[in-house]
Amino acid sequence: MADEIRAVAAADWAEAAAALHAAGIRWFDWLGAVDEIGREDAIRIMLRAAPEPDADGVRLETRVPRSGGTLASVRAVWAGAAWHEREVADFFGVAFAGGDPRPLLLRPGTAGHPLLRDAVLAARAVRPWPGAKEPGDVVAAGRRRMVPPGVPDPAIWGERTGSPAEPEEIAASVAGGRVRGRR
Amino acid sequence: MTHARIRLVTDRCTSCMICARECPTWCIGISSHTEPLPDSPPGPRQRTHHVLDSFTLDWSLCMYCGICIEECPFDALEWDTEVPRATASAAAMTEELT
Repeated sequence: MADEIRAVAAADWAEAAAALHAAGIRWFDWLGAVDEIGREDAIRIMLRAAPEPDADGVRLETRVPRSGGTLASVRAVWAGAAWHEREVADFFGVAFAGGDPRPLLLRPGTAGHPLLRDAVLAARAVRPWPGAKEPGDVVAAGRRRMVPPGVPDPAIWGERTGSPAEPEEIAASVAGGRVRGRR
Repeated sequence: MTHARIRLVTDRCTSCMICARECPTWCIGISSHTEPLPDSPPGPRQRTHHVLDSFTLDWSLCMYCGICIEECPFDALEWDTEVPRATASAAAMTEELT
């Protein structure tokens, strides 16, 4: 299974989707997003469509700015895409012009967008991570600290003094692992 | 395969913490200590191994994804056919696997 990947500019998004539909690629599979923090200041939005469910399809890709990104909705082409767009709007803060503005999964008034990589999950930050212990330790050792994926390393995000962390450092820290020594 | 309950084979567990670190819901807690190997000669650098003290699994957090079973390098975790027992409180859902 090899999909053709077509990168388009954000301004051409809805037209590219309509062109796919017009070319007979009518089966909408999914629409999703990835936060590209650290690599570039953008959110990558992807859409997959195929001529029929089991066939090779086309993946449309575009990038919008991480804050205040706006994209035209493809709801007019595939009505089912509105559901995915509502999810992306909830989780990544991308606005879809002409789409369904109702939140899908977040409560109205929720602050922040949880799937942005720099969103801090407060419930995770306050609870001790069971994986912080080393084998053979009864309690987590202070010297060789590990941080779980998705929880900020205090040396990078939290109690940092001086210059704010580079996006690249933030992107590396969201994967979890050993806390690096401060340089 | 029924995702019903996770069983621990204590003889195979080396307390390596991999399952606890991979668990997306943080439901596994392990405590262990180090003991010298019985057949190693005593000295300043005696060889040791980890001995499992307790392995707890909070069934109120577990989402039965099976990542811990997949990740365990020693096959110490397995699917079981029964479901976890019902309890009256969320705190009582934490079970010590033996």
